[in-house]
Amino acid sequence: MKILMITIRRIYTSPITIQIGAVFLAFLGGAFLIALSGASPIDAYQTLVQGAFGSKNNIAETLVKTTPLLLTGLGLAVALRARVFNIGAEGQIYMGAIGAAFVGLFLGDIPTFIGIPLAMLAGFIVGALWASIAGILKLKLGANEIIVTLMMNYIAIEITHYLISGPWKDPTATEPFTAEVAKGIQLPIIIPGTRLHAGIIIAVIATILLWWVMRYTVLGYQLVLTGANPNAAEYGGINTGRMILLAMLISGGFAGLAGASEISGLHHRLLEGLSPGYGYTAIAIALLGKEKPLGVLVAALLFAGLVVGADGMQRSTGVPIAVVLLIEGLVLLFVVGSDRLRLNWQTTSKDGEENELD
Amino acid sequence: MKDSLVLKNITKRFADVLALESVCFTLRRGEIHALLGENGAGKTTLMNILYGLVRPDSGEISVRGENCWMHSPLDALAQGIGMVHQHFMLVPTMTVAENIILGQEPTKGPYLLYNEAERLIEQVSEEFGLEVQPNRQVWQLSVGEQQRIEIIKILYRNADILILDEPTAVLTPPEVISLFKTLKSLTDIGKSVVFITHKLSEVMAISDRVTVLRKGRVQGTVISCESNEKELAHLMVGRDVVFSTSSHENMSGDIVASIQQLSANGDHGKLALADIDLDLRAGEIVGVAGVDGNGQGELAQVLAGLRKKLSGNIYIKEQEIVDTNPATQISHGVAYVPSDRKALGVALDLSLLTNSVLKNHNIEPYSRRGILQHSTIRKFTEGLVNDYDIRCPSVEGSVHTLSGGNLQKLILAREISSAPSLLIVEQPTRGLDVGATETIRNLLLEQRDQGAAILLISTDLDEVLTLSNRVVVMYEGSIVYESSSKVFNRDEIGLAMAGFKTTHKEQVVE
Repeated sequence: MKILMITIRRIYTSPITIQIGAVFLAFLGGAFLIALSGASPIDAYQTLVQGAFGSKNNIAETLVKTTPLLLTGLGLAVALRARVFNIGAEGQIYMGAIGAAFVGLFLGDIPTFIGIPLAMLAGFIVGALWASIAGILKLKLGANEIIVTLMMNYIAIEITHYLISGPWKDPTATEPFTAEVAKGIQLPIIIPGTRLHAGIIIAVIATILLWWVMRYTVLGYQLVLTGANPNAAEYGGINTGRMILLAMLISGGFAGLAGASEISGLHHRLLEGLSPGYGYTAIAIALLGKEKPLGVLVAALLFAGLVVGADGMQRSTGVPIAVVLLIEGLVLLFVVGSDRLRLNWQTTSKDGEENELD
Repeated sequence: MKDSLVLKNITKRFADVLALESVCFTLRRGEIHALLGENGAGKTTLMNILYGLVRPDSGEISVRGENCWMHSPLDALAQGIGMVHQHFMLVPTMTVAENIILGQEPTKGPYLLYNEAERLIEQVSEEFGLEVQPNRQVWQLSVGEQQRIEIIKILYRNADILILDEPTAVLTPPEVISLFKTLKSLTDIGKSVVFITHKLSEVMAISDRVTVLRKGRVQGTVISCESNEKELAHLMVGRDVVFSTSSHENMSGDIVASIQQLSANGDHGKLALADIDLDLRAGEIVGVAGVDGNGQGELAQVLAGLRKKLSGNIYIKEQEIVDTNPATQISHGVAYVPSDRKALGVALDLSLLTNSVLKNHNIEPYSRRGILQHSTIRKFTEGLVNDYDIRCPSVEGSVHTLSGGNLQKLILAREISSAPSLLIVEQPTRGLDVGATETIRNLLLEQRDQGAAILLISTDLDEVLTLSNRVVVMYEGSIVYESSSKVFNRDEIGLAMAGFKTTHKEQVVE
């Protein structure tokens, strides 16, 4: 009987159950709002799922959206594990895009097998360097990385504006964007007839790579320990300053990679509105994914599906897209709230176990 | 004698744990009654019930023959019950007088009668022979003086039953003696005292009777002078306790660590260590006695590489270490058991597996070329758990499921697993029960016999005297006393801890 109770407690307090519960509650709240607007929640959600996963093209679109969210979310998850709060992924995406665009615009006709890796690497490095500014300021001057990274977003976006309306502007176009990047850096389409490009493959490989790094390497160990208790990490001989900088570099790098993949795979030129807030949504994704690479993969799919499916829902049921934004917000709210709840459960169950042992 | 306080069949259950089971306790007028028990025996719960902080599930309380219930500390105070908590409840930036009258100020209309307050305090202070300067600010007082303020605070509220929760934990030996005198004089005029402790020697020294609690049950109430430490220990733990003691024989070998003219700043940027000279030899335990906060912590941190030194030299095995940081100290064989186990010793949310390799995760065989060797780590952790009898639900479980004693065993096991040449242990048994204390102390002696140099920092003077081969006393950042003799002079050490200069500083006999 007691074992059964403990098992039940383990299941309902396990992080996965709680995350699923949070998402379920968010959809329940969304259903309430949909009902308020006069539509049937069941119909609305049906068309939402249809819109996200109902056809080859819909699935492809969902995966197209998943790619930048996943790449950015992965980097942020690593940073969060080290308790580094990088709110600047949005700007790092733009900087990564600038890096890739530079390769695609100014290095002439380069063969694909050099061009693609070079563009991705450029995106990663420029994004990482951009993020490292906040990391260095934090280490040297104790500047709060939340504020610095947030402010750097505006700088990155304005640099993009300057480039696409000034020196890098496509002379043949009236709108502010660059010329098309070289064919050599363009990612191939992997499902013909759709926009789905090879960026998703890069993102999935990155997921597996980061999962492995966090689980099996000394680097992952040191990042996690720095996040869990920086004093203990320092005491254990870990250079926590270096870890904080590394976490910044990794999260900036992956955001930059997301930007590069958008340029090489989707837009083929640097343009305004390149990221409709992916850098911010990715924070929610990293949190929902419990800061674990595989969790981030699932969360990114969910959020991408919501955004893509929302169009279909609005078309056929008249429920506004804003409802989806509300659901996203509710998910985040419930996830953050459930952390608190789980903490409470843990303390009560901890006390119980401690006493059982004494 | 009349019973001033009777607790009858008090039972309290927290969730599925029985904290107190049919506890009966009688306090006579004018006696000092010790409440003895290990951590978690239920002493504090019982007193919190009496003080109105916790409600019991069943049972009766009567004060001076009248049944009553405490719903809050205010009720308790109204019944004449006052408590001195382990952590003082004083406002450091206010004066002594302000602290004493806080909550019960003599007023006339909207005006505070400050002079009247001072007069009342002086009256209390004279009546009970407790010296006090009402106009001093609390932060300027020593710990012993602050405790006296707490006692006056209670007397000012006309309490005649005083509960003291582990009152000696923070005091120097002379302060303990002065506290005991105060308590005796209070009981002489008819006040009653409940003295909560887990130290047997204090029970014998101060109490008239003693009630022993174990696992929420009363094991017996005995008249102190008719009992002895051995019997009480047996009642408290439920079995005989054997502490191996240090032989004091100087079997020490080569100098392992040498500290010369070491100075360092504390957290507040003020000098916390001034010109420390100390040699630590293989196979000896050097005890550092002193009241908490006299630079012992900073000394440990500098040696462990966690604090930068201002000046001076540190040699480990004749090699000077210029740039001290935790990684280099670890690689030179310095192990460190910090006093704040939970904040520094482990990452509480992470597993035993993760925490057990904190110091050696980046060396073979625990990792190879940057890749963690999970199966080796698991074997290592399970080895520690078995060898040191660390009770845990599983090695994957997070460390905060461990009890205090098991957590300390894990940390000490981890630190000695690397066969350190210098082992720094800070407050190794603070807050641990008798059983765990016994284990930890025996492990330290075992390490000494295996040739480690051990720097033992403890505010528990008995512990220092029991385990050490040599004792130094730190006061305000300096070593003010050093002894190497086979018999320690407890009085001299006590005086040195309180900052009195002793006439001679004994030289190490080679």
